[in-house]
Formats: sequence, C-alpha cells, structure tokens
Amino acid sequence: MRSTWKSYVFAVLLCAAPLSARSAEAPAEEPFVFKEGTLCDTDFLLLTRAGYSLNADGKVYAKDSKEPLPESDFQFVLEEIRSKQRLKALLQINLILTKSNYSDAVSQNDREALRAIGKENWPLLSRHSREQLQAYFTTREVYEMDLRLPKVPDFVQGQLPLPPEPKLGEPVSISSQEPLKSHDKLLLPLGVRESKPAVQEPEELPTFEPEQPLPQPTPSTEAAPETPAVRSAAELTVAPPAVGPDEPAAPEPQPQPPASDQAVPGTVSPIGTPPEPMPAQAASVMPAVPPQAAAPVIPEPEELPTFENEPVKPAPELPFRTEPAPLPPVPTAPATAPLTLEGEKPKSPERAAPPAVRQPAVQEPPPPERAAPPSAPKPVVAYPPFDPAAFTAFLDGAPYGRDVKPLLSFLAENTQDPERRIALGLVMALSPHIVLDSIKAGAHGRYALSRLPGREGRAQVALNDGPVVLEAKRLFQKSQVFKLPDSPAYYAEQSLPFPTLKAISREAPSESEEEEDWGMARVYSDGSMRLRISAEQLAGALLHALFELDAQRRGWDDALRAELRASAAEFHLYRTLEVQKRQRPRLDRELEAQYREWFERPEDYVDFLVGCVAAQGGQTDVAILSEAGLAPDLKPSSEAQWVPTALPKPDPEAFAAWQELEKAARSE
Amino acid sequence: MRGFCALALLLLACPSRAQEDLSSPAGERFVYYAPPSRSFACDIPADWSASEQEMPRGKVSHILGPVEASGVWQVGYHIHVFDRDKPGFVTARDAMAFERRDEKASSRQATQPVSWRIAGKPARVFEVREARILPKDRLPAKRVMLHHFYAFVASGGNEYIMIKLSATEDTYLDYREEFKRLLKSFRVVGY
Repeated sequence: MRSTWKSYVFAVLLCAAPLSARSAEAPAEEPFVFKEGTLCDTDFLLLTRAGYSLNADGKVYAKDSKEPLPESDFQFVLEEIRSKQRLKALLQINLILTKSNYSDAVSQNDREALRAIGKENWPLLSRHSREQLQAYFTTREVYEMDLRLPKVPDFVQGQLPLPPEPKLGEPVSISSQEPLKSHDKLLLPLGVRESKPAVQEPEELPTFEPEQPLPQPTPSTEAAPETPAVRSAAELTVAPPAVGPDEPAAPEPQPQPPASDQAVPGTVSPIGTPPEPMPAQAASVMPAVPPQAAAPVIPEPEELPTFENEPVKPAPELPFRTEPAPLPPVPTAPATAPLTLEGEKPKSPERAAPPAVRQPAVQEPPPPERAAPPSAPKPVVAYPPFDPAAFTAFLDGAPYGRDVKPLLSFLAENTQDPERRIALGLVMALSPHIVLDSIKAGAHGRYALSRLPGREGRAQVALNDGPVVLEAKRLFQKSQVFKLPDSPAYYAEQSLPFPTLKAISREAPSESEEEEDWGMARVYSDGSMRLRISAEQLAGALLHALFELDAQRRGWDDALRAELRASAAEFHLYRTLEVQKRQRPRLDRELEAQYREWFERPEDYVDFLVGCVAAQGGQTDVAILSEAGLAPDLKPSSEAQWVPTALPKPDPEAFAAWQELEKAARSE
Repeated sequence: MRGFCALALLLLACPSRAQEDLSSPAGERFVYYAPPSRSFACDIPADWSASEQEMPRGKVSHILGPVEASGVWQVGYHIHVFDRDKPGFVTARDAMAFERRDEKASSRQATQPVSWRIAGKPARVFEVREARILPKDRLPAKRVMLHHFYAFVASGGNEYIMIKLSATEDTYLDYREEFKRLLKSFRVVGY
C-alpha cells in the first residue's frame, strides 16, 4: 500500500515537474509596446481618458493594474473604447435631432452642441455620419477635421516601416493644461485653444495628371487608381477650397503629385499604371482559317495590330471555306484593332513560354517611350434610333446566309434599347461578315473576330456552332470533360497530329442526339460528342461579338469593362426571354452557370472574369490536350507561373457604358 | 501505474494549440496594403499585384497572385466593400444566402457558415466548391474545380465587406493558411 502511494506521488511529481517547468518556460503573452506611428492622437486621448496609462518603456497599463496590456488584446480594448465613445456621440446627436424632429430647423444652441460633438468625435464617426454632420460646418472646417482622420502608415520599398526607438525616457505624465506633443502633431487637451490656427500646410497631393490643377474635393465616381503601397492620409487628402464661407480667401498652393505615385520595384502594382501595350502576338486576330483536307495551305497572317490606333495592316489573301459576298467598301473606324482580353494567349506559333523562374508579379516601371503612348482622340460613335422597317429592308438585301438572317431577326425582336440600337446599328453601319463555322472560330469557344483580307479590312464574326466535347472516363476518379477545337490549322500550329475523333472529323454521321450533362449533343460511335448550340445561345454570342466590335470601334483600351458590358448585353437578352416571354433560354451548362452567376452574384462574376483573363499560360493548350490524350504526355508542372499581370486601366467611358447596360438589364 | 505514466507522458508530448504557427511559407514577404479608398487594410504577399476598382455596388480590390500551374486560373483575393448608398445594395444576410445557394449548372455547393471574429468584428466564414470550364471561351478547355473561401465581415451599420480567396482544387490548401493570415491582419478602417 505504501509503495502504491509512493508510486502515485512519484507519478504526480513526474507530471507536475515538467508541467511547472513548461508553464514557467512558456512565454508570457507579449505586451503591447507603444511605438511611434502605432497610435493616432484620437486613440491616445481615448486611452488616457479611459484610465489607461503609458509607462516609460512604452507599455500600456489599465487602471489599477500592474500587468501590461497584451498586444493581442490591445486592438480589442481600443476598439471597445472607440465604440463606446462613438455610441455616446451618436446618442447625443440623436437626442438633439429628436428635439427638432430631424428637421433642418435646429436651434442655435442645438447647432452649437452638434458642432461640438462633431468636432470632438469626428475621427470616430462613420462616413455616413460625417456626411450628415457636414451641414453644420463650413467646408474649411470639414477639411481641417478630415486632417484628423486616422492615417495609414506608409512603407518604403515594399517593407513595413521600421518603428523608431521610443523616445520615452521618463515616465509620461499627461498634463491637463499644456498641449501634448504626440508623434503626429500638437494634441491639445479638451477646452484649451491653440494659440495659432492649426491649419496644416497641405502636403503634396497625388494628382494623376500633374499638369492639371487639382480638382475640387468632390466625391469621385470613377474607379480609384491602384497604389503601390499604403500612403499616409496626408498624401491622400484633398486640398480645401480656397474660399470658405467664414474666412477670407486664402489661396492654397496647388500641390504636386508625390514621388510615391511612381512604381516602386518590388512592391504592389501602382495605381493607374498604364498597362503595357500588348505585344503584337497578343493582339493577334483570328488565326488563319484552316482548309479542309484537300484545301490549299493557308499562309500565316502578318503581324497584327495592337491596341494603339495604328492603321490595320492588310492581311494576305486567304481562301475561306465560305466566300463572303462582295460588298461595297464600308468605312471603318480608325481604331478597330482586334480586341483581345488582357493576357490572352497569342495565337502565333512563337508564343512566349511562361517564365520558369518565379518572378514578382509587379510591373517594372515602363520605359519612357512606352509609359506615355500617344493617345489619339477616340472616335465618336453614335447610332440612330432603331427603325424596324428600315432594318427589315436592310436585312432583305443584306448578303447574309440563311442561318444568319434568323439570328439577326431574333435580335431585332427580343432585344431592347440600348442594346438593340447599338448592335443592329453596328450591323447596318459596318455590315460585318457573319458566319456559323467552328473551323473559322478556331481556338475560340464561342466566336472569333477577325478581318477579311482586303484594303478595307471588313470585320468578320465567326460563330462557333458546336465545339467538340470529349469525356475521359477514369477508373477511380470522376470523369474529366474537355472541349476541343476542330480546326486543322490549330493543331498544325501546335505541331500536333489532327485528332481522329469522329466528332472532329465531321465525316462520320452521329449515332444519336441526346441531352448530355453539358447540353444537347450529337453523340458519335467513338464516344465523342459535338454540342448543338441553340438559336438563343447563338444569338447571344452574336450580340456579345457585336458589342465587342463596338468597343473596338470606340477605341476602348479597357478590355475588362468592355467584356463586362458585352456580357451584360448578352445576359439581358436571356433575362428578357426568361421574364417577358416565359421562355427559359437553352444554354449549355457553362454558359448557364455564368448567366446565373451574373444575375445572382454579380461580384462573383467580375471576380471570375478577373481570374480568367489574366491566367493564360503558354503551356495551357498542350497540357490540356495531353490530358485529353491528344498530345504526347507532358510532365505536369507543379510550380505556379509568375506572369506579370495587371488589370486594364479603367476607362471612364467604358465603365459608364457598362453601368448603363447593367442598370437596364437588372431593372426587370 | 504504467498506464498513468503513459498518460502523463502523452500529455506532455501534446503540443499546445497556442504553438500553432500561422506564419507564411519561408521566404515570403508581406506588405501592408490599404486601397486608395482607405476602407480597409491588411497584409498581402509582397509580390502579388493589387488594384482597387469601382463596382456598381461598391468597390473591389483585386489582389492577384500567380497563375496556377494548370495555366487556367489566377489565384487571388477579392475584397468587396459594399456601399449601402449604391443601388442594388442587399443586406449581408441576403448576400450570404445568394453566395451559399446551390446551383446545378456549376455543381456549386457551400459549407455551413462558421462564426469568426475578424478585425474585432463579427464575421461569417464558409467555403464554396464549383466546377467550371476553363479557360473561359477558349479551346481547348477542361472542367476545373474551383474553391472559394468567403468571409463576410460587418464593417459598421448595414455595410459589410466580402473577402474571398479563389483558387483551384489543386492549390487551394496551399493558399488557405496565407488567407488566414490576411484575415488575421485585416482591419476595417472605415473612412
């Protein structure tokens, strides 16, 4: 029995000793240490008011506490104090406004009380509250109070700022009568007036065009530019108006853009960095239309124009499978270079392989000659109101095939203005060549835009009327689905043999037509399928293509907003069919997913486009074909590709046009 | 006795939860980022590119990482700040309902939301998985499983911020810890 007790005691000691040692070795929670730049004046004042004191070593102590405040708790404590003060201020404001029944007729005493509350709690109030209180202040007062808003720490060369050593050599005692010299500026105790006006000399402000004067501080609806780093609030503040209602005119010096607006290597991409002009290969048009087995070899097109307003080089003569009907020359806009999304893969054989070495995804500062490309004035494009009779007369005499005219008639009947005016106005103005041909569509899943040979370079829209679908079944995994091109020229460009799938060859008849998992498809004997695109989906793709042509005609460089605008027009068509005609559009599965995403989760749709447009690796095509068994085995790379990417610079005109269509499309 | 000692030794061998490290992979540098609208601030990988753009219902910051090895998708954080004064504003509850709704076309499925605390504010976090055909509108294309990590953070009043990580199924776990780091460093500035 005694030995048993001994063993228990030994066991307990065995456990307790390391535990106690462990607890003693366990690092205590790191205390918060005050450093310059970590606290703004308002927070500092709130902490001291709440009874917190600051020691000489920079640690913060609660009232009647000997333990310093842990760093992990500090933000919560600070947020709680802020919330209390904010709530108190809002309650006081609400109490005052209740007296006047929330009318503008506030008594003088209440007005002064509101001003006092606003001045004291300005940095704590939300933007909406501040906007409501602005009516009780002059513009200059609002500007001065905005200077007190919390500043965001700056950093240099992509690193966090190193906090300087605390200069607190002695225990800090906060005087109630003398101004407190904080890390930012003089902090006056409540009720003490400053001897001189505390208007700060405006620092240098960021302007996007240095040669233009700084605009007045009106809220901008344009997209905010990117920033390479966090800037201090002083840099981001807007200069006050020179004349305030209560002060004489005091012209403020117009600041110049700070140097931090320039791109800093190794940091986040800067705001408004103009996207590098796309290489000629990236802006290539639709690859040469491949001939059939017995057709002559198609020459490669010449180097293709870029986004810049350069004259379109005439392409060599190409023997198309379907010769376009001769048309009189149609005037074209000067900037009608083919529009490809940012980062879209070039279609020429000499496409650049992705860098094997991981590189920062930041744009280096472009060379001067590329940083400021010559900006030609954008053409003014306007279409007359849609006239059904005139369009019917045009369509009767237009050189379009039997499969294209019903699509245009469908658009005339089912689209609404402004989509109908723009799309069909473009058709009547430019008469683009429209064909339903998956071979001419090449590597484009839905449509391809290109130019016909000739001096005028008539636009061509090749709709993909049915991509090939291959379902690779696996033993222990879920089957994989591939969509494949059926253009012989595409495979020749990739130096790959033309696949022997019956759905691609178009020579074998299909066995059946079934509703597959990915839409209505013709099934062939070897298991390959060719999707049958519905008339609604073809009309939607045509509408999308016409809007992309319109964006080219307008000279927009903002490919993302142009794509969003074209998508809004297309999805509005489907929405009209669904709501007004009680007819659910027959879409393939991926397009259905995009349509639902656009309608129910518009932010997700934008994110989806952003994730897609930049991801165009050089090995993508071969890797997918290899996975589908149509190319030699390619060793999969597990390393992510660091390709410098940048979203296109927002174009205000394109953004406004997108907004207009979005509003029209969602109004139903 | 022997079992007791074994239990004691097991207790000692168990690492404490506080020792879990949320630090980034070796060699990664993080920078402090706040968009020009100054609505939030957070730590992002230094070599990722960030830009803030206007949206019909607010603003969005696209923080884009590398193109994935498959070459069809670019990893990114997408931080949407919703403005209740903009037309089309829906409450956070409704927005979460839309995000979590199953969808047959893309086999979209969502997990149950979990309550978190981000930037000292209440937040709801859930994950979504969907199948998409990528690259979009390009051939050849294949079905790719996308994973999204959503965090809805109440930024004050009715307004809220939606923070999202989007990656493919193959690399989702590689970025999940970094995304947690972003959430941990996230701060609602709100002005």
